[in-house]
Amino acid sequence: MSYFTKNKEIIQNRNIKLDALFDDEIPLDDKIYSAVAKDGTPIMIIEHNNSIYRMNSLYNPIQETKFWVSQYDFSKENMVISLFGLGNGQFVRSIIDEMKEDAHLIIVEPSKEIFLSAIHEYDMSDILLRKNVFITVMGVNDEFWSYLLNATIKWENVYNQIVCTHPYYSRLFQNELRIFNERISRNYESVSIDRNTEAHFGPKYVKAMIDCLHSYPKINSMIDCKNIVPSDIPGIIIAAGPSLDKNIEELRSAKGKAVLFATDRALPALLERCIIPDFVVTVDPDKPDACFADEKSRTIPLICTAHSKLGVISNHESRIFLISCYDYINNLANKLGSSIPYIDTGASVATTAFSICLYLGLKNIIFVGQDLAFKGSVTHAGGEEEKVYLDDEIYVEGIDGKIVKTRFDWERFRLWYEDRIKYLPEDVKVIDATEGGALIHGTKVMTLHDVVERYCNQQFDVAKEIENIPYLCTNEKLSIIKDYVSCGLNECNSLVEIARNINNLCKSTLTKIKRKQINFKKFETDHKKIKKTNESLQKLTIFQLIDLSVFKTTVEKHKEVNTKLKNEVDVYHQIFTIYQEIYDQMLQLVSDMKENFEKQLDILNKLS
Amino acid sequence: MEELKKSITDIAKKLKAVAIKLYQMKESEGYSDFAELIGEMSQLVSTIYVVKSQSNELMFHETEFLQKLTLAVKALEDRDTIMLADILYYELKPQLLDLRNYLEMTN
Repeated sequence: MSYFTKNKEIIQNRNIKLDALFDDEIPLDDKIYSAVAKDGTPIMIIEHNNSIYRMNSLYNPIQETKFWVSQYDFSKENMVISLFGLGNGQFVRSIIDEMKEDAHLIIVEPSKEIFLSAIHEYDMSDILLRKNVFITVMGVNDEFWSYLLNATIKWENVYNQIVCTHPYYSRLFQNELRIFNERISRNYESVSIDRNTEAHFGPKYVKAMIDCLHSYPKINSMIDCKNIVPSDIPGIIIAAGPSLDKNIEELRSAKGKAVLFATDRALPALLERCIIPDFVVTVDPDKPDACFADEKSRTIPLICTAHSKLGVISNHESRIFLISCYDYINNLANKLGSSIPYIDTGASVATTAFSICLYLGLKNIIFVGQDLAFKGSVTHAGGEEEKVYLDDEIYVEGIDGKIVKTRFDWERFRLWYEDRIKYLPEDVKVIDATEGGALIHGTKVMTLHDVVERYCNQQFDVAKEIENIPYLCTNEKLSIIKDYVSCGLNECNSLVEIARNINNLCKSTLTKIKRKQINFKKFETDHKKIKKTNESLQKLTIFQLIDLSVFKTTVEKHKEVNTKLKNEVDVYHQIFTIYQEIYDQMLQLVSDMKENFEKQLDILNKLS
Repeated sequence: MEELKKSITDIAKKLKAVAIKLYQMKESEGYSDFAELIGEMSQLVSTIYVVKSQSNELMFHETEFLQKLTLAVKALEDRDTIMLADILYYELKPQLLDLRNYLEMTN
């Protein structure tokens, strides 16, 4: 079996989204070839701009990689290592040898040609088979890279990262390296923003997730929409920027010839004019009620996360398609024989809609109402002036070349788009038909009228296609949902007992400390007991819900623990005080969750 | 002779340190350290010439060493970092260590 056949088979089995490389026969680049070092190890050579780059040592490539990798410290927990450049895999192996079992290695290869050469010329099976090693190729599986960054880098390990570059890649791929570094640093920012968001919204997320359990029989995964829209039907993303007022009427002529994705905030303006989009997209748990006030909003297919605004899912009458859920909800979908796709939300509803268009494979993506800038003092369609505290005034280039005023969050979204657009396949066009606002580099600026004339010339009935999609849960599978809810309920009952015990333990220790009855051995034993209990909680089905709900306290307490304390007694006093607060909060939370689970079970029982 | 041995050991250590920096792609640091080292190596070769002229028994092929050094300088000019590291680590350093071992045995 050739190296290529062997490597390709592993890639296809591992589902690392690189299959597109095998769809077409991409010829091998004769400027990338293999040679043998003096010690017999295969090396990679690249000819580029009249220079020859030997990517490995000509004498002893393995020793070379050992010297190279020795500059990094792999001793931290739960590390994420991002390597720019695969080469022929030698440097990857040196990282694998050093990294801990709990670490993840994400390789970003900027060149399809090098990747193909590597899997043709070298046995990469040892690398490809490693469960904690992932390869992404720019322009092929970028979404997978975003997914990996999101899935592996959390606030707990954001400082445990290593970012490194394969020798010579910084010379061969300067632009790509800049983009790689930009995306990594944006991910840092995004993780810290997400951390604050989770801390802030955690309890709301949990309520919404439990509340949607009884709606599961009418829910689908977005995966069910994957192949329903032909790729040449345009996707129009309708955001609620001030310019929407200008061309909203034009959307009537696009209806039935494009898929209209309305962001939740743009929905009232559309419904007011009886323009019915094909989908509504919502992700924010704090969206104003006004977005869904019109009863017609409930009759439009909804794309959302399970932790979107409380009540939106349970009140919805039309089809619901879930995206990017927490594992608590994903696990239930798996039990029902499906899965919920991770869609890069990009922190706004319009960016989510953009990722959805890409997920559906649409080749023409059109923005409407995506100003990402002020129009005078107006922030949204209908002349709305949202009052947001502005740290600093930010000015960017507008679509007409003039300067427009923007906000920090909008600027972040604009950069997010630009980052994504850079890596889209050549046949995907992104057209900005907002007719106002900030210029998103990489988009083609057109009027909506021209877009409709040029791109919306095929009839397509989205509603009919959606109608034919079978529901995720059939009557026979209802018992699976009920069992899942019952399991949550039972776990809540056990948790009450556990939380009370830990609480009493903390109280008693704190009393002893107050009375100066110091016994470090006993304190340590009790501390270990609590840590063991914490570990055992992680096995619960509802652990993620608890974690999200007590997240805020945990985050704040983590900050406190990090401050330097004078002596050991103070350290124990702080530890037991923190645990007491966490478990106090947990008791309250579990009592609320229990009530919600009972409510869900009651509704589900009535359904059957 | 002790001074010569010390000087050889010192330069061999520096060659290894520069090679590692280059393998780690710390190029500006590595190149500038190597530039400094060229002077020290030239000085060493001159010393070896003097010692050889006094005693023909010294086993050192200075022409070969200088040829390797020329290749290293060419790699530096070409910014062929890994090639430069290879020459320093696998060519120049071993030749110096051979000389030091020879001196150890004969003196």
